[in-house]
Amino acid sequence: TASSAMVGHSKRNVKNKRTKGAPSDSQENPKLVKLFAKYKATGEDRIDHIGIEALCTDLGIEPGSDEFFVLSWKLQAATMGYYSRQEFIEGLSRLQCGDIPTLRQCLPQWAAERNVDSVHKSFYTWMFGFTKTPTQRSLDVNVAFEILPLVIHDSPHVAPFIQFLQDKTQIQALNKDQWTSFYEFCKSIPEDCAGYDELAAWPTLLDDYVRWRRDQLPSPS
Amino acid sequence: MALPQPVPSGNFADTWQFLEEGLNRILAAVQGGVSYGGFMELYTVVYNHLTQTHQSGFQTNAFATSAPDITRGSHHRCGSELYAALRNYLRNRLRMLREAAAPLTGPALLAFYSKEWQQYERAATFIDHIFRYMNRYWIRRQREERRTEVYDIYTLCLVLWYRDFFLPLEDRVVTTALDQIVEKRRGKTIDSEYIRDLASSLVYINVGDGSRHDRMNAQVYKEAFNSKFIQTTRSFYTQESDQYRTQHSIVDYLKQAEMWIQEEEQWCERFLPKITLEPLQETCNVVLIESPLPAVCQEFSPLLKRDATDDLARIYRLLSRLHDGLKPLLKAFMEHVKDAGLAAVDALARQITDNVDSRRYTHTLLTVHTKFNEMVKTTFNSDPVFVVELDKACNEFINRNAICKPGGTVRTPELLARYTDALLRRGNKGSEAGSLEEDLQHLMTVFKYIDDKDVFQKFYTKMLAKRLVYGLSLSEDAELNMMSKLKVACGHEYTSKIHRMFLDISLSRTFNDQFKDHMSSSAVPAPQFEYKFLVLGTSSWPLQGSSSPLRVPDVVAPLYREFQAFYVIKHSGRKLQWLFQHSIAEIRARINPARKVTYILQASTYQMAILMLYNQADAYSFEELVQHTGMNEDTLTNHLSIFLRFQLLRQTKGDKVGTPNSRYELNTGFAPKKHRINLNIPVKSEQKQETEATNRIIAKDREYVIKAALVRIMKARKQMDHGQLINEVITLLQSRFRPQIPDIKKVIDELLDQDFIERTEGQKNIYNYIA
Repeated sequence: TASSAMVGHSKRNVKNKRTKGAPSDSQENPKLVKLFAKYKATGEDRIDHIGIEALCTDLGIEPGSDEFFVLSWKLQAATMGYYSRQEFIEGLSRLQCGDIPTLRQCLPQWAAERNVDSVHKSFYTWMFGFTKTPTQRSLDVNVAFEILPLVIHDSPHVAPFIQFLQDKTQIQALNKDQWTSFYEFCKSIPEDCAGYDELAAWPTLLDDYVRWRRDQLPSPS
Repeated sequence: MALPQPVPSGNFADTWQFLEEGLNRILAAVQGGVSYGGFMELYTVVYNHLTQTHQSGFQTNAFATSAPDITRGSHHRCGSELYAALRNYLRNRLRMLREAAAPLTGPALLAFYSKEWQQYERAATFIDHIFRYMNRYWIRRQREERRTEVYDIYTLCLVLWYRDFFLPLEDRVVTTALDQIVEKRRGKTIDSEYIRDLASSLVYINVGDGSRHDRMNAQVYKEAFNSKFIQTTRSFYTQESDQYRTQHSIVDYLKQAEMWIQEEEQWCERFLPKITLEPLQETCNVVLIESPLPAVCQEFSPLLKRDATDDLARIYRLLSRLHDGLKPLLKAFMEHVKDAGLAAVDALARQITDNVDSRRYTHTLLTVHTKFNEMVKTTFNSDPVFVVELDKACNEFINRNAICKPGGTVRTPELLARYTDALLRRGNKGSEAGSLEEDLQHLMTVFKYIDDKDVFQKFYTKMLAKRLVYGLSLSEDAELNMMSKLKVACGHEYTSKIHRMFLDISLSRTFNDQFKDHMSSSAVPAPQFEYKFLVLGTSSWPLQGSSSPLRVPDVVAPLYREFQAFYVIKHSGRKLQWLFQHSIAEIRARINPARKVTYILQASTYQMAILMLYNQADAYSFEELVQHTGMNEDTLTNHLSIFLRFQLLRQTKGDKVGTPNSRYELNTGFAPKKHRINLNIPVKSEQKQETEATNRIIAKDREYVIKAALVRIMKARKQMDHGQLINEVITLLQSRFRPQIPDIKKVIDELLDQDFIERTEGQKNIYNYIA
């Protein structure tokens, strides 16, 4: 069927971002084309922040909220602030959402789906690319401070890690490895950092964090 | 040949009677008891008896080679008849012997046993020969039919000895023998030969079911004698050693223990079967060494402190008899050597106030190494496990001690490089070891232990550069000798830069000749002085570029320009960068025209540029000097400070050197005692900066080296576990320096960030190479 062919196509596009701007296949759903046209920026073939704000208002969510990130993640959007034609039309087609009410209905379900452990990791990894400045390799720490509490809810490390980065380092940005390793770190290292091995494959930034954290916490004895 | 027929055949009683007489004679005295003829007669009688039923009458050919075709039944009857008779006869004899032994005790019993056994055993061999025909046919058949109670005749003799003589006497004989051994241990002389005979008889009579295998395993000996012997040995020495230790020091005890062990081994080797030695040694080891082991190990450290080499060697000998026995000593030895090294450096550190004398430092390290190296050789028999500990200890105290602290600025590799520099410099006054070669060898001994060989390399090349540039080398031979030593120790790569430095020097020599040829045919007037150019490759020479521009002094300017032009022609595409601070000029100067004294000033080109100005005038302002020399103010100020310090110039205006409008006048009162003065001296602060700069360069270099190693390994392996990767890096770089794990991890971070490698999905500790 037409929809399954599109799923395959969009998967390839997710993997290979270089073909992102290429014109999409002919079989675009006219309903979605109309919807896209409603939000699209004038003179551009994409939705910019103004369109996104309008879309959010229609959906009853805030841009920059968790729901917004869930939606962007389901669309596999590459950069915050924009939905390309392809991301929007193919994404919604794949998600089988033809209109705003359906989309609104789906959001809570996707959020729940995202919270499943195995899926959450891919959401977290995607967030790095989505929120960083496209021209840079790393994620600005100020952005990281904003979104870390959003994407990791249940770890005692998020707040102290942010404090550590702010007070104890001159780090301006987190690279991808530091970002993804922090996720693993939160999943496997307890609050008092017991069992953390500085010689293991953690990035040195986390070594420094643990050293600082251990000094901070009262010793067990 | 016809033999007289000894007995009529067919009658067993006659046959047996004849045999019995023969056996009596044999058992009474084997030697001379029976002649060859007698032996032949006995053999023939046995033969005839066994063959008679089939062939009536006498058969002349006694030595039939094939088995006679005989009726089984009758043959069997003859065989068993004869076998039984022999058996009875022997048992009878043995009963008589038993009776004879009954009243005997002590050594007399052992003597009796020994004598009778020897006699009996020899006789058994003889009897076996007489009954050989029976062995070959009748007995063999019986055994083939699994009648295991039938033995060949020799074995039968032994079996009967065992059952009818030894077993009834076993307790008495063995106990007596063991008692005798105890007597011997207490110092009494005994007849050890009797015990030897008893023991060997027990090995002989181990017949079991008569097969060969049983004869080999000496079961009877083991059970009847060996185990009891080992047991009494154990209890004897347990008691003796306990008692001895309550009355003597451990050191004395060890002497005694070694003596006991020696005596036991020697006696055992002489008088007991081989199989006893191992369990005996084992028992001695357990009782005499292992049970007092904690006390012995405790004594080891104090002995080390007292340098009691004899006692140490004894402990080594004794403990190396145990499996893993040396283990507890190793740590103590390592600690002791390390402490000795640290103490020696501490003592040196207390004596020095200012700079560390690299020669004394190196010799302090070396002395400790030499002492313990000698100890390992002579006292510990060059045992590899001790060599390892020595190396460990030396590595510790050589790299980390009171003078060379981790994180401190003074480091062993640097000091060692300074000492090398002192050795290889012209004017190296004699050596402590006698020859330069020995000094260099000693140096390499210490070098082997330094972790940071790259630090040594950096400082060494820096100092080598100075020696070569300023012509301070003792000799080229010595330099090349040192280089080859480093090459042997660290490999080709380590010395490649050094090698290229020497190459540059020799290329420069050739190029100077070419240039001089060129000058003789050129329009430029020949200069009135000797000159030499060194062209040094930027990549191999650790020299810094010039700190300031310079208007080259007129006297050398034409030469300078000509050389530059000539070089560019010869090597197009290369760029010459002049190192004025490393160029030296010898200037003959008469400072005071009234005095006839001529001084020879050694100066850099910067300094020459300043000094030459004073040919024209006696005083200049700071601004004038800047203008005339074209130097920057900092450099000029530095050199003026040096001139002021030597009192060659005098500051007549301005309170601080190098301030605006300050003025500098030639000091006509300049009158040092020495006529040759080297003005090109480094400023103290510069030297410190230089060390710091070198250390920075080293840190940066290490990062590159680690990165290169990581990439090389990942490229080859494609996929690698974090821990393994770190280990490989350490192994790969060991010969240069000991990389710290956090440093390696930092570089891994970088490589991850730069997409050289990536983590495997779901396994964060496995990296993949990204091609």
